Amino acid sequence: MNAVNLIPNDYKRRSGSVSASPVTLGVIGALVVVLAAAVLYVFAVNDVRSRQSELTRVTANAASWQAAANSYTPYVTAAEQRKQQTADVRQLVSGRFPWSVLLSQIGGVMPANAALTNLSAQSPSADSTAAAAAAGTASTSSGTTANVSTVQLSGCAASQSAVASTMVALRRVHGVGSVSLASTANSGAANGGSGGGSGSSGGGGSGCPFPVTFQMSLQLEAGSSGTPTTATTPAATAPTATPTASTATSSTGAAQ
Amino acid sequence: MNLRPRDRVVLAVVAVVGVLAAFYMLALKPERQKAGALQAQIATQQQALATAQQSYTVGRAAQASLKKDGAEWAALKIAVPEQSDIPALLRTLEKNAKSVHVSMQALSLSGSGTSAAAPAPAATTPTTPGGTAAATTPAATPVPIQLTFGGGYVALNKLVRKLTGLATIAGGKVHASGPLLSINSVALTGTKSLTGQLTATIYQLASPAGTTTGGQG
Repeated sequence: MNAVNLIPNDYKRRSGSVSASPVTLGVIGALVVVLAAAVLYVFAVNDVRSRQSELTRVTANAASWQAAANSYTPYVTAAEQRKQQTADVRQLVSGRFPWSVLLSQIGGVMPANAALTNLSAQSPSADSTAAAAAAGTASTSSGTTANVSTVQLSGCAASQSAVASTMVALRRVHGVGSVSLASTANSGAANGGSGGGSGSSGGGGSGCPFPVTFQMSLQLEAGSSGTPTTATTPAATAPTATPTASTATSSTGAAQ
Repeated sequence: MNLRPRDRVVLAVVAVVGVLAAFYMLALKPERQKAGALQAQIATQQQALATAQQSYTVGRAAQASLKKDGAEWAALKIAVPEQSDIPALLRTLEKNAKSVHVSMQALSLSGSGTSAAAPAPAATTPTTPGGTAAATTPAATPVPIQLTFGGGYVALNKLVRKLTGLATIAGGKVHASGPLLSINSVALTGTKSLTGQLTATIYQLASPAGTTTGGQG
């Protein structure tokens, strides 16, 4: 039994010609290209639109944050100003010379047989620190070191030995670098007025309970200014030797 | 003109390529450039946003610190006022002198531009919503004064301690119950009842030209 193809010949020819037609392929290809181009274009346009909306959102957000930040600008300015002023005032407060400590120690170490009639002192860095702090600049140590000051003391004592004891005692005051005797004179009636020192005019005077008058000065160390110290006297390491009395101008026998 | 099928195909391909190139150049590329420019603007705005947020945070912190440091700031205003209040200083000096049994004898203002009779000028510093000074104010201006007291050595020393203690630093903060007084020199004369002369400096924020006495006489 032989097989017979029942499909008509013209049908077979037609279907083959459709798939092979170059025009059809060209049209289909063109449609695909147009479709792809349209898709690309739509994506690009959508991308632009989304970015525009994002830009609008971010811009509005930034503007609102900026407005909120601007409302705090005065606080920032005030805080910075306060910070600066606080630093200046702290510098002024902490840079002061500890006068009460110095006076306490001088009063504390004075022997019972000696008395002061005159005390005058100037802060080591009185002008330089104040000027620097007022100008808002940091104070340097140069102003302190260049302005080492002295405490001028006048007073009277029961004897020359008491004057010497006073010098040794004052040497123990914290911050005192050296004690210099300017003059000492026995002007009391008990000693017959042996002291003829012309420089002892400021020492005794009226009301001084002891006959021997003296004038001396304490050299304050440079680093003692502005460093708060406790009122305790230093350990008993006072020099046994006589303090520098070489600057005595008219002494009737320096401390010995 | 008759074209061969191969030429037609080549021509069609060239035409399609030309159309595609025109599409890219005229439609697609401008959109992409627009998107790129927008992206750059977004980056810029995001940077601005971050900066604004940082400024906001700094501002909030500044506001909080102003509230937190209010007590110290008040102490600072007492220690270094806008204008030196000489009447208040007088009262403070006399009160402290009495408390240590020292007699206050004299006070003299020796600073240039310091007037004891002129009225206090109005403060010109604008204030913030928080009531704080916003404009830049000058640094502390020294006002020299000279004080004379009478009393014993220990009492005068107590007075010096009290006057120094009107403004102190404790715990890293400034505490003030009166003006900041820097004593520059001390001179004590006498035997039992001493006369103490202090040259000192008080401070104010105003310039020396505006140094006056404030408050009521």
